Amino acid sequence: MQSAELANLGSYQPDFLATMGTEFTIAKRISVRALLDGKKGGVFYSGTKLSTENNGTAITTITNDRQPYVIPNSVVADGSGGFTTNTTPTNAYAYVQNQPAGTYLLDASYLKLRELAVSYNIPTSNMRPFKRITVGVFAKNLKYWVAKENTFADPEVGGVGAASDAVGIETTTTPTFRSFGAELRLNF
Amino acid sequence: MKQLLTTLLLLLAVCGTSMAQRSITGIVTGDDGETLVGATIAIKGVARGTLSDFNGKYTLEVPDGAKTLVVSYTGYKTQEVSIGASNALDIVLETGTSLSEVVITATGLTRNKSDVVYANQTVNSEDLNSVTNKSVLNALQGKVAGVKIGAASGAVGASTRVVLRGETSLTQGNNALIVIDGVPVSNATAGAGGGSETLNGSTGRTGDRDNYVDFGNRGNDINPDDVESVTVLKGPAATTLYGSRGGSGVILITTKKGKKGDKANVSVSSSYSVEEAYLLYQNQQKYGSGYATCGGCGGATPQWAIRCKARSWPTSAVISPTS
Repeated sequence: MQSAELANLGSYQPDFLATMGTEFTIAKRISVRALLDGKKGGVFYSGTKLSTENNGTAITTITNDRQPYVIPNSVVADGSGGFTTNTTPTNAYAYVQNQPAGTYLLDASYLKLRELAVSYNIPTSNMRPFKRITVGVFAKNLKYWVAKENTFADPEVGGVGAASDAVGIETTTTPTFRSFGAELRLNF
Repeated sequence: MKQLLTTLLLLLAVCGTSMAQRSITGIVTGDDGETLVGATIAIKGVARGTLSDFNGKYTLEVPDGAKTLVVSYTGYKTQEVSIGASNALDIVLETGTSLSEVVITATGLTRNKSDVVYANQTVNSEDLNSVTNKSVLNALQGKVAGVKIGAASGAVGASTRVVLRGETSLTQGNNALIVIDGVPVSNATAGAGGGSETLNGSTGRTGDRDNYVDFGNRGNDINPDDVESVTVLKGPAATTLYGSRGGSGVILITTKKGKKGDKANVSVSSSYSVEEAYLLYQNQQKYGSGYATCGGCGGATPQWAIRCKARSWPTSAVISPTS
């Protein structure tokens, strides 16, 4: 049963953004950098949730092994304006398929280990013409934490919204990536 | 009354003697010969000072008791100059004070961070390129306070959206203006679709997100290795020079360039990286996708697809994937 009235289901605006970075040097030559980046609060609409729950590929569609069950905390209208506790098992398919758009809103919080880099400064006193040689390995987005309910998409990816200011709408876009790499920097 | 007048006169006389002063003029130059515009010349121990004008010239009223002038200028060593008998005093400042925290202002001037009164933050080349990044905007992620940097997708060259201080307009773009060495560059996205063009044989409806093609935006074109520093200007006071275009904040990008007196400097940066999609949706591996309209189980009530390991499909089932 859906209300005909429009309701405010949430905002994409976060409660706060937070980042934390550190850099330290070991034995004067090895440098370690780490950067954490996070956002708390806000919701986003997940097109991936809509699509994958529709076609039955999402992990959320195997609740109760796809057997009919009584939806927890569900009620039925008693016909006279009140509600009574629901006792009728529902076909899981029918339940998932008939959810209002609001159920596709997910918590947009995240915390990511944005950067982790270790580099080594090779001694260059006997190596003209090099002034500095640095070799290093790095990883971007090595680790991430998202809200438990979000098993669908990166809340950071805005879909079309990223470009057109219609923010917080994820439209089954290409997933974001983590990268691992090595680098060499020469100064002379 | 008479007494009061006498007192006042006496006071004036005292003031007059103590304020006896002379005017010192001169030119402030750097040791590289350049005249310094806007150098600060202050009298040591007296709360008075002046700035040099466009020709580096200054005029300062100096009380008789004063012995030393303190001269300072951004990028030069602060110097104490003793005042001699002469009223002409040219000052030569030594270069060399390293600018630890400088800010590029909207007008392109370099200022000490502490001299700038509005919200700003500068990320230098070293911090920006701490790891290899594909674009300056992505490299800024997590390095500037209060800046939301979001990508349209994880695809290569996807649009990057930069919002300072949160969304402020419902009808206008909230993307920050990018200014590269004084030249404003729009960070608007070249996108197509959502209109009526035909893609994969189907004509998109107005506002159809499925047919949207993201061609990226220009903020992604800047090579992070070319960047000397990025200054993020927030708020109207900082961005006045750019008028309404700077309403959502400005990202000032200063590229690397040679300086007078600098030695030739070559740096090579080479990196190799492997990328892996992450944060994918978690899919179930137990059942097939799609649903079955099972004739034998209550008419047209659709059911989920069966287990992948089931030996055979129900004979009456019609399997059809949805959307």
